[in-house]
Amino acid sequence: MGWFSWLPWNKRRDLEKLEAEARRNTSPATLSTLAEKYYQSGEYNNAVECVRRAVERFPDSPKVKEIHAQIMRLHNQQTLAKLQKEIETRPKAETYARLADLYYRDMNDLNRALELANEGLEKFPESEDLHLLTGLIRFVRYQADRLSQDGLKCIEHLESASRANPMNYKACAMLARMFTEVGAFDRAGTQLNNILRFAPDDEKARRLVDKLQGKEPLGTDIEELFKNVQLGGTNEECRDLANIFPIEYNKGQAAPARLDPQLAASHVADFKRVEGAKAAMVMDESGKVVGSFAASGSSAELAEMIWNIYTGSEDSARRMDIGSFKRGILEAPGMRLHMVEAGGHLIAVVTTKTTRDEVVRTALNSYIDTVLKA
Amino acid sequence: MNEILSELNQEVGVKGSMVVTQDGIVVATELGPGLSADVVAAVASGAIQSINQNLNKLGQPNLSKFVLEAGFGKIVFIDIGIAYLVVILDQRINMDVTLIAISAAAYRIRQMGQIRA
Repeated sequence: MGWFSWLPWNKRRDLEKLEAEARRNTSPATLSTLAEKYYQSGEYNNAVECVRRAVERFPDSPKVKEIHAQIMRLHNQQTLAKLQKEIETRPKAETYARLADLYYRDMNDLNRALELANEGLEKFPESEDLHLLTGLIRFVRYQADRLSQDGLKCIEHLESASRANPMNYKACAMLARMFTEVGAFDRAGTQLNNILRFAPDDEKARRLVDKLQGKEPLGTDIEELFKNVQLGGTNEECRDLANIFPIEYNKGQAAPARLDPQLAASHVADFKRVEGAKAAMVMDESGKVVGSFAASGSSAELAEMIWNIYTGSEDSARRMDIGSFKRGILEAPGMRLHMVEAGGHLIAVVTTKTTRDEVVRTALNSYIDTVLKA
Repeated sequence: MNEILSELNQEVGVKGSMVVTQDGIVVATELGPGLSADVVAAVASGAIQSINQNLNKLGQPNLSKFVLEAGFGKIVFIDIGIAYLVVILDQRINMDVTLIAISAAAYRIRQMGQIRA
């Protein structure tokens, strides 16, 4: 650091260099550094905007998640404290909704947001805002994992919001979208016609109504329809129809970054540096090995074992309604298996039992940040 | 045993705990609201069986501990003899602290000697 680096114009010049670098090479590292520097330089709005973009683009990056949480907590600490105090002293449905919304939108903490919304609904079961927010969070979760439980809860809360206020556009729109996605075209039509009653100029709603005209629903049991999607994936025709009526639930439109297979394969050998590492491998969504190293034994057999354990864990997590698999550490006498899901891939490292978890975690985090590509 | 599970459930972020055999027989259960004993037992025993089968295929012994982190929650499985301690956790908890409490509970259950083969 130079003697005059504290001067405002020098600080700005440094930031401009980082901005250019982040544009040229958009990665978890460049965006995290830029956000940190913005914050240190007092450019708080730029810092917040930067971490928001970073977390949308690299939701699986450990570095980005850490910086996002730090900056957003600092940015919102006064509001969080004020709302929390209001809830403790004079709870209102609106306060619960505002606090839950803050956790959802700004802090990217869907769990806390859902907890707060549920807590609020226990006290204010008729609150339109809280039903709408709970429905929205379940909607976001459903779009990520396609779990039938999220879908059904989403419908339940949105219908409550819609009952409280039949002209609640967001509730009707999300319901129409959800029903279309699972093939409940008749129920989607009801919601769309309701929208057209109070928003007759809604072109997208009208287009979808026209497309759904005369279409037979794929079933009448809504639970069955959601289960079918969970087991067999989204029906392409339903998805195309639903896309006629898009819902802006996401904070940004950028597609999340995925692992670059070539980078992933070339960097898998980095795990050899982890003391006690016996094997490491990266697999794509179908279980195909993208890159691996094994100190001894057959890596094909190991890959099969890891994939089976991963798919079993994924199934367990879904059945327990805790979302999809993110990380796991399995310990058996003499070995430890670390698994992480990131950027549409599974990364697994097998170590001796004496290798510290923290060392492997750091290596995995660094690997993910290196191989995620915007 | 239920007393140990109840104490464990007092830890921050613990939503419920259960002792279940690999065959799905529930030995003791203390689950919080929203968690069904039948579902947890079925999911846990299915996961343990499948993991052990896969480990055994490669000549590895059965799992001693498995920490599964998902998007909205965590599950810990710990071998306690012929059964497993299964703990369901909130997603945001500090695992390092809670794992100590879980391991301590597993040790106490093992010491009780009630569920040896």
